[in-house]
Amino acid sequence: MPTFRDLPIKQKLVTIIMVTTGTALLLSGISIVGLDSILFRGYLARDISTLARVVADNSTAALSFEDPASASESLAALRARTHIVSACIYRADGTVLARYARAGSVPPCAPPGIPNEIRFTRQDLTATRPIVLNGRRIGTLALVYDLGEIGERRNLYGGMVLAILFASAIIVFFISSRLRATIATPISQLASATVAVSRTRDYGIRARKFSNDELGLLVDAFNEMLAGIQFRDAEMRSVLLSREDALKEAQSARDSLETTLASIGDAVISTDIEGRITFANRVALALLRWPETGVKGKNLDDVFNIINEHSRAPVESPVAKVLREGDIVTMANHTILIARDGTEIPIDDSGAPIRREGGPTQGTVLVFRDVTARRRADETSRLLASIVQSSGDAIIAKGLDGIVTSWNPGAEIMFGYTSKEMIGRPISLIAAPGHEEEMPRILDRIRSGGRIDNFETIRRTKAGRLINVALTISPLYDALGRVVGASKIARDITGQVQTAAHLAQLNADLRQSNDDLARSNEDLERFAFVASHDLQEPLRMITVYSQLLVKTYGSGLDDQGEVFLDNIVGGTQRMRDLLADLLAYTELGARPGQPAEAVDLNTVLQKVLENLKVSIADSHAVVMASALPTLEAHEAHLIPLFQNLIGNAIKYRGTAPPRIHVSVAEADGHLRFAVADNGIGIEPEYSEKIFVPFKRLHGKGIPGTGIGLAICERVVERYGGRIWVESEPGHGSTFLFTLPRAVNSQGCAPESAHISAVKEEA
Amino acid sequence: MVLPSLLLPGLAAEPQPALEYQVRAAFLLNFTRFIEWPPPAEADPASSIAICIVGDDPFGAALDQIVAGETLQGRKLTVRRVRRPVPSSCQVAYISRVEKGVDNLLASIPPGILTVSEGDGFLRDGGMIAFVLENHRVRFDINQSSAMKAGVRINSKLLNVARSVEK
Amino acid sequence: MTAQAGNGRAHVLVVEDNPADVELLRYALSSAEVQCDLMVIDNGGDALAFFQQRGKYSGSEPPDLAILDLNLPRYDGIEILGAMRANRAFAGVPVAVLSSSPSPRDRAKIEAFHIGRYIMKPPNLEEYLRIGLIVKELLEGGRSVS
Repeated sequence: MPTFRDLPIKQKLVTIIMVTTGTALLLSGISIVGLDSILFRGYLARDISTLARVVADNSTAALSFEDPASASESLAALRARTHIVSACIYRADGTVLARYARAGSVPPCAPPGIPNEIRFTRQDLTATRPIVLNGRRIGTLALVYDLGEIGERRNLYGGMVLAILFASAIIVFFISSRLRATIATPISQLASATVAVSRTRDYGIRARKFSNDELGLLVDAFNEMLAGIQFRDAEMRSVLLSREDALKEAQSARDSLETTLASIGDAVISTDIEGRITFANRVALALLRWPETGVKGKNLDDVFNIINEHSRAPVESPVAKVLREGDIVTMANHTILIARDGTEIPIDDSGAPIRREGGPTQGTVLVFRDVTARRRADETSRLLASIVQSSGDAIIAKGLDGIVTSWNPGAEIMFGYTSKEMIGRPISLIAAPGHEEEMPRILDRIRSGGRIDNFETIRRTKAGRLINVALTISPLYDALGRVVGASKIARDITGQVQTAAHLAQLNADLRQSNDDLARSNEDLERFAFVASHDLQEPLRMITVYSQLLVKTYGSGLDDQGEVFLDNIVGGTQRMRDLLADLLAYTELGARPGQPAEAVDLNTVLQKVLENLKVSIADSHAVVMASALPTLEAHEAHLIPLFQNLIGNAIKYRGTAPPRIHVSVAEADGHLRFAVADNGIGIEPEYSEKIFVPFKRLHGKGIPGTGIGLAICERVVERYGGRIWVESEPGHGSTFLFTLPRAVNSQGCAPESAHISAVKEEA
Repeated sequence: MVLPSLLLPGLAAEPQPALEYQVRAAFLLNFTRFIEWPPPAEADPASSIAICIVGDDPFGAALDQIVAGETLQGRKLTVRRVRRPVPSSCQVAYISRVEKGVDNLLASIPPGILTVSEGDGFLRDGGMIAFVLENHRVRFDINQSSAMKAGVRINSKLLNVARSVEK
Repeated sequence: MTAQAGNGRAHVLVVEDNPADVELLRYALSSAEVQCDLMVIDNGGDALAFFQQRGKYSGSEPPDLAILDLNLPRYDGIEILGAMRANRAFAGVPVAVLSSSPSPRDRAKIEAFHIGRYIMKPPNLEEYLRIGLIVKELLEGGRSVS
């Protein structure tokens, strides 16, 4: 259970208000009730006293004339006062004249005590009053008043106070509930802001101000405090950061110094004041040909031997000079370092004392570098200069303003201007009419660092002749890498241009004849198709009638006649085969045909073997095949492909029975098929020609149209593949071709499916 | 005050004739306490208030004993025995029962004097207060109109105690 | 020409422009011992006229069998076949188509007419002789129906 201390402020406020108000009301109530009972006693005393006096006064006559009835009447008037318990009128001698009692009870009317007295007891008030007539006491009146009224009043007032308290409490509760918001809301806002700040450490949070009272001041003060903290926090952070940066910087400076020394391109050696080596970087060690461990502590002169390039006399080491003179020394050129292994290296070197500011020299540092490359570069530039001088090409340098700064003899010859004439003059002197715009454009390009290669254009010589030139222009940079000009190499290509024009003409002619050739090729194909188709008719007639002739009159012919007729039949048969193949070949080239469908090559092979059944049987050929895939293709294309290849393998067999193996493999995303045989093979020089239509390597001894392989090539090429042969004459050939992988290949049919159609080799 | 102590035994028992007059004397004195006389009668504060007994004196020494030393508002009370006509210096005129021609007497009495007697006829004749015996007790009747005519004001307390009041 | 129904010889109409083929057909039929009268129409125009019973063919009567070469100069064989089928008198005549065209496309067109036989013009004598047997078969089948 939460103690009051831990209650939220709004509850606290309500509680405080309720308790305060309740206490105040209760105290006032108690005070009023208490005061009332006190005041009421006083009032009651006065009242009863007055009443007693009146009654006493009224009783004078009755007492004077000894009239109890009248006295009783006087007393009976007290009935109106319900709290009068009893009343007694005594004569002067203490005897009772008249008496009165509430509700008929008999009053005790004890002998009167002290007259003129008001006496309170616990339950009642007794008032005793002398009855005086003409200054003389003639009797006594005693009244007894019931104090129950005080209790009643107290109860009534107490009840009223409680009721008021209760009603007030309810009203106060509602009012305070409303009013507490004006205090509690800003405070809880402030509290949540505080919580947010302490949780997030975001000192940018500000509490919201609701009023201009003390809470407002508190919010302002809180916000000001936050602003202060925020400022201090930021300041502290930046101080921390900058300190960290400084540390990092110092660290990196140290690192970079060390790294610099270690990895600097120059060789660095430091010595102590005695000239003993304390440090040598890698470059130095490499130049001196010393291992790292060897040099430290050695006297510099033992390691660093230098001589004059020309005189070859030893040169004093700069360290000695530095130690002597205490200042930076730079050695003259032509110094050669003799390394440990005797290698001579031209170097530049310098030395400097090591000392703290104003302090004594603590040692020296020697910096030197291999200048072999520079020597070489010097030589190269001399060479280049001579090349420029002797070059047949024009080599020109110009500034970005187009003013010529260099003009070689080649340029003099090419353009006819001497270098004297051109240097300091604008390059536009050699611009050809119609080409004036080029030069500023070229300079723009150069300015932006670009270069121009083999730009063919026209320039004009001093004599006014126009020449074709090829220009190669590159920017010239100063030491700071800024473009300051352009170097231009111009080559006279007038002759080349003429040759090129000639070539272009030849090319165009060639394209023309090529087109013609393609056209005539198409015509030829169309002709071949029609011819092969239409020629079949008469050929069929010749065949059939020759056969009819043999059948009908064969017996009537002599031997020679039969040979003639056989030749006719054979010739027509051959021609028919030729025409059929030609037709197949031209059809392959001509029509796009029907859409491809899934073709199972195993089935194709089955059909091919069926077609070749007779020759397989005759030659005792063995055809083997691995499982073949299914392709998206036309069966009408694939059957002749395989049939021609297998047929050829049988046809061009050696002395042994043909053994033919059909296989397939994946290669470069294609399927590569191979039809291998053990036949006579093909000489390498014919491995291309065999695919040309009607090209045959063999005479009539082996029948054939010369179109089979051409058909194969067409089929394969139609599917985007290629076909070639690998062969060893006398040992057999392998025809290879590629076809695109099957789109929906569902794997391979069982091998046995078609092997059963041929002789099993195993 | 001795009167009540004297009266008490009387009230308890049958009053003796002498005792009866002692009570009447006390009553007579006590009447003066409840009467306001008109101003001329009080012109002289030093002068006494006189209770005059007209004619026969039934009280003997009782009245004198009772009145002796009594004062009323600082004025001395005295008892005087007078003859007809009743002098105007009297404030109270007690007319004996035996007196004849009471009505004439009353008519001759000057205003401002309280007239007291006994018997029923007194009030009819124009008297103001008449003693009566009731159950052996001394009581009195009052004729208020007569008193008012004479300018004598009778305190209401006295009226309350009277047996009957004629208005 | 009218069919002589009385002598029991079948009437066969041959539409063929190549007389050599007609001669071979005759030889094949006689080799197969088919007893028939051969009526030859050697051009497309006459063939159309015959089937539409126009001009000199206005009185033509339906033969027992029609052998059609559909590769006729200037006339589309399909057209001729259509004309024949359109004429109610000829609609029931069995048809054998002789063709030198190996094209499956042509063949599909012809098959739409539900003809009896589609015969490739044979490349050799042996197969030619078999045509006689086919015709004999067709004629006998036709007779049994009528």
